[in-house]
Amino acid sequence: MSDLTPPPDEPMGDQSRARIRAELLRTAHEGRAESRTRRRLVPVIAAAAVLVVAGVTAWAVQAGEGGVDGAPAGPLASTWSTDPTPSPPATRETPSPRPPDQRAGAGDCRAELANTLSGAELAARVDDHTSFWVRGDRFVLCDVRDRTTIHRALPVTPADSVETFRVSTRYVPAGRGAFDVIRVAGGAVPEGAMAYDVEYTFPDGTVVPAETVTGADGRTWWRVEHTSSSDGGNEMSGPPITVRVSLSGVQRTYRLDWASDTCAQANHGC
Amino acid sequence: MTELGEEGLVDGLRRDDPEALAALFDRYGDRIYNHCFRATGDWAEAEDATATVFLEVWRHRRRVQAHDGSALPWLYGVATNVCRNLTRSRRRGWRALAALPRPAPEPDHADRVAERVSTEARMRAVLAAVDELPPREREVLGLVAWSGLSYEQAAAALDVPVGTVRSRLSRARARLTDLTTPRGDRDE
Repeated sequence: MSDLTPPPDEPMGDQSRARIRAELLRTAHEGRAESRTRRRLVPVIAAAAVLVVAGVTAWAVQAGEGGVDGAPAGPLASTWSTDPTPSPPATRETPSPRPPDQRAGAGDCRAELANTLSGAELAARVDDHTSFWVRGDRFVLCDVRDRTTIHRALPVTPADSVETFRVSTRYVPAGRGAFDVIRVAGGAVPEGAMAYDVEYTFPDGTVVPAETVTGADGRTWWRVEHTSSSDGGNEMSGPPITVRVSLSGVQRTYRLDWASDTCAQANHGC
Repeated sequence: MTELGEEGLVDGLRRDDPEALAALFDRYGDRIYNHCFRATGDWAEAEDATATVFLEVWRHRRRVQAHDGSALPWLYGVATNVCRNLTRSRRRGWRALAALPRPAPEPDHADRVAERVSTEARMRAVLAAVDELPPREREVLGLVAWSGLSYEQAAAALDVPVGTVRSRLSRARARLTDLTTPRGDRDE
């Protein structure tokens, strides 16, 4: 073989990317929690060690002063110095100005859209959280919580596939190691649909029907939102989210795979 | 090479920020994926190896190093180690990842599948051809000639002096010329 040129690069598949990304984030969040626990333990152990050393030293000094069992009385020659040791000048650390938050999701919808569907315009707003943005024949859902979540761009005319019903997942710390898990999905109602119902069933058994809103251009949009609590367990071992869609009397059911279908955001991790 | 905010990502990793890991994966996942493919000749193995690389990055996040402001050479270094171990023991250890729930296969079209098989066959033929090289020379070849790293970046990735990279690559090229030139041509 004389041609040693490898084949051209290829991008990783979307599903694989989402799966690995979700796993990385899960591992990282777990690792960070463990790391914090270790960090909290280190000062405690260090303080305990200092107390033990101080106790032993005090005992040794007392014993020395008492001249126990032939030990030389008086100060321990090499341990103590009568010279005042100059202490380093006290330094006051000037708090540095907090850098602007440049993490993904720190901007508003328009700013966060830049890398997903640049130039998209607001088409409809469901409430203070969720809005839909359109450019040409594609749209993105934007959801603002503690951070701004941008969904991947999808065709305005919904495809008959699970991709249309993927949810974004945002874990918002709720204190004491617990999280609020906020899941959001949405899209455009197919034009001309006489009856269109979307209903999600979440692992906690909650059934959430889609709510709809009509945009300025007359198009109807649906949105499903669900918040649950998590203590950090592995949700992937639970039942999947299912979606029941009814279009003009024809019903379909989709099952969302964990990670690949529950991490619809494009601008940050789950 | 340095992209805006990359030093921030490196800082983020050191500060245990999972979002920094995700952002690094978003930015360089494809490059590492293709580097791993060129080391294994198998797209599926490259995918698992990529996941392993970024898990290792997280494990060693306190030691992340930026070369000229970029974490990429260090990432390639981690990837090279992962793939070296991979080819030594073929999937020992990191196969635990296979236990992860996998999505249903993507609806590949037949031609897409054929293309992947074809690229795998081609890459394996290339790997067979360079198999005669010592592993260290193969690694330099992979980083510089195939992944496009500069000598300095490859040196940072492998934690060796730049001169070592130059000499390994030079020896690799000489050996490959020997291997790929028909005997009759060499004798002339």
